[in-house]
Amino acid sequence: MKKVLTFILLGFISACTAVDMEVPELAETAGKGKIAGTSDLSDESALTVKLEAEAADAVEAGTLDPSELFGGRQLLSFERVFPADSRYEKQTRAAGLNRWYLVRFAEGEDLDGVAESAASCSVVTKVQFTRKAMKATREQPIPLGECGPYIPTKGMVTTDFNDPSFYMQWGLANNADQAVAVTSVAGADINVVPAWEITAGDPSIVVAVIDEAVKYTHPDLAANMWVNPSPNAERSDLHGWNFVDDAPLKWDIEGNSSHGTHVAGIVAAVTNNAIGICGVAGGTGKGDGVRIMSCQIFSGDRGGNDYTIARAIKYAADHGACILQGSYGTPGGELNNDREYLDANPLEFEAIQYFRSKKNCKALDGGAVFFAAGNESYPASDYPGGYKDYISVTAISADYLPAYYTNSGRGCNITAPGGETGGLSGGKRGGILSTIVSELNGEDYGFMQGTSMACPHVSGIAALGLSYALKLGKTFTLDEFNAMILSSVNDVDKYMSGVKKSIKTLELEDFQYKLGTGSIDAYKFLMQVEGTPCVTVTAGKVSSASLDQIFGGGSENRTYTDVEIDETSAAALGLVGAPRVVGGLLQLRCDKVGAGRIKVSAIAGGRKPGTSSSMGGMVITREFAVVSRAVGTSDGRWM
Amino acid sequence: MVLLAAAAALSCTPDEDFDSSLSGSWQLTGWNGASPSGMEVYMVLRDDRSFTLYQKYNTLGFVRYDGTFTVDGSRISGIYSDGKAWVSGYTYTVNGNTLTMVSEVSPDTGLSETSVYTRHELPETITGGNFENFI
Repeated sequence: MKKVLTFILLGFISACTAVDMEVPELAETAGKGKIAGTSDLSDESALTVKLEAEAADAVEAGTLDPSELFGGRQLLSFERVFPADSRYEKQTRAAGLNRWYLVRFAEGEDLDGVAESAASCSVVTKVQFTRKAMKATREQPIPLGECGPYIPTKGMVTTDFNDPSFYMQWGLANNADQAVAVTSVAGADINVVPAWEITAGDPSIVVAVIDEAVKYTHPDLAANMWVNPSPNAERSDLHGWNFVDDAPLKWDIEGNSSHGTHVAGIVAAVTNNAIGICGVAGGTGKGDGVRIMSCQIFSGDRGGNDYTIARAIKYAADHGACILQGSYGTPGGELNNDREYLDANPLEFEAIQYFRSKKNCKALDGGAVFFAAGNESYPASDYPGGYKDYISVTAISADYLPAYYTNSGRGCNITAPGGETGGLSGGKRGGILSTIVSELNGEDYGFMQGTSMACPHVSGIAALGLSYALKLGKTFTLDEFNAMILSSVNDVDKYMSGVKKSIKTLELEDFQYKLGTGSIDAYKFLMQVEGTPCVTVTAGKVSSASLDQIFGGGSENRTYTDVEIDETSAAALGLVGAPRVVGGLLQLRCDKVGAGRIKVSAIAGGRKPGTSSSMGGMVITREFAVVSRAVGTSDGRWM
Repeated sequence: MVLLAAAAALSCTPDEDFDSSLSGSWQLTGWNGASPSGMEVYMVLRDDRSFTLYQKYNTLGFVRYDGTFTVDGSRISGIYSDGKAWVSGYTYTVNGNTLTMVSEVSPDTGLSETSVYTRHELPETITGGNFENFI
């Protein structure tokens, strides 16, 4: 095993004496005590409980009466949160998910008393009050027809694809169209058009949309819907399932907002089908888009319960999804750090961890998860997105500035177009155009705004990246994949000065270094997938090399925590002294001509890593090549 | 002087002494005795002494450079179409499908580099047009 030399950036550490750098040991059901959450957040007479393995087996065998766990109280129902299914039971039990039960009591039952009663049983390891999450965006869409005639003021952006409404998707390609906003900035988009030259999707990539139901008959979605290869004969879960009612998907519920359908369209509306819009990973018109699995957790104003969400997430894992797209969360400020999240919602955490442990794509050793940061203008992410290992997405608008509503700061990792449907000069057209439910909103397309819309831009790009990885035969660990995504960005922090006037007036300095690493760039991500990035230095002197190719635009502003090089690489390079990152540049002296590999770690989102007691950024580690040359060129030419 | 030299090179026609074993499409497969980790370079050398270089090295995608080269005995040197000379001349040898190019010793570092190229078709990424023109 190669000996590894690790150089901690002592200057950084000593300057931040308040930083808690511990990496907490999180037990499977971590959390203080046994009782998760509080009864005041629960709107139903129910609890979820986790039992010791033997007790769960005894319940299943009929040798343990569950009412004994609740002081003999009458139970209206006692059922597994994750019902037994022979196809997945082995992995369910291996993850301990068979031990979770949903218990219902008569209305008016003293839930606090019940919880204490259950917690006093030695075989009960966790008691969780049910809690509800919310869609990050809770407004209705603005149908396209209500926006009046569109008069582009610059040459319309075009692609080789024939989707007639593409030119209104500034989030995909922004040409500073003044009809969107007089403050529009060219390039304030995800740069997906050049990425499409390389790949536009792969039908074996399945993205689970954890949300309202997706209207799977929508003309611009139907061809990209996941089709269950082995649907349950009794349930007909052909494109997903409604976990609110344990019933088939239903999208036209009164009170719905087309949220799930809109999110799904951003990810994978069918591209190049001569109608509507392009999806980020919607294919090329040859049936090669990624697939959308609809996992319904909201139904009008019902749903969003932790057990509903947990069931949906597990279904996605068991049925082959490799990307979880979650534009929902607990509003900013309700949960303030990872420990509080695990204390409040261990059930959802275990379900997400189960999803992350499932290798449903050959190119990735687990499931990638993406969550919206939230729209409460709060200086921290919602949960679960704020959890240290999960990617939380903030929102920018066509002006390359933060959307007026976006959460920011602690726990936020990256930004993407979320738009504004009011406040910019173009009004509604400043939002994000996508597919909506005609039964609810009268039309098939409409604008919405939110980190709800920003998140699927990122999950769609993740899907593109996996599509390309499959094509190249490459595989990545989840940590590598997340690090690559968070490094495939353009700098937005350089714009954060002065004031932005929208629905709210924003002091832009308040958002500097607070939106995450930067604005996601699809092309950069595909290039990261394709090859090992490389930094060049000239032999025989101390070189300072930019890390933009490694960590994305604005890399000089990241906080770096670690530099690691193995002895073989150090010897091949003739390394003199310790490599370090100073002022955001990699400084090292190599006295030989040669190449080696080096690992540098940085914080994605903010200045401090997240810990159990303090929300923060994700520590990402990038490994790349260092090339020490005898003959240096000033502009990077090979010869 | 450099620009005149470039113009002169462009107007050259292939002569009978031209080493045609150089012609073709080459992929960087070795660098100073190791595999070129992080460096993807393709070089096309033509009979009319024009060259095209595609490199993905310090960049996220391929970048294309064009220019002309000169052969003098076993030495090859080149000039890009913007007038910049290659950072070094190279002593080359062709052995079947292998081209080895050794740079001059750098006066600053006292070191030189050895690059090994293998005959190879351009990859689909490049033939599909996925590159940026630097010049």
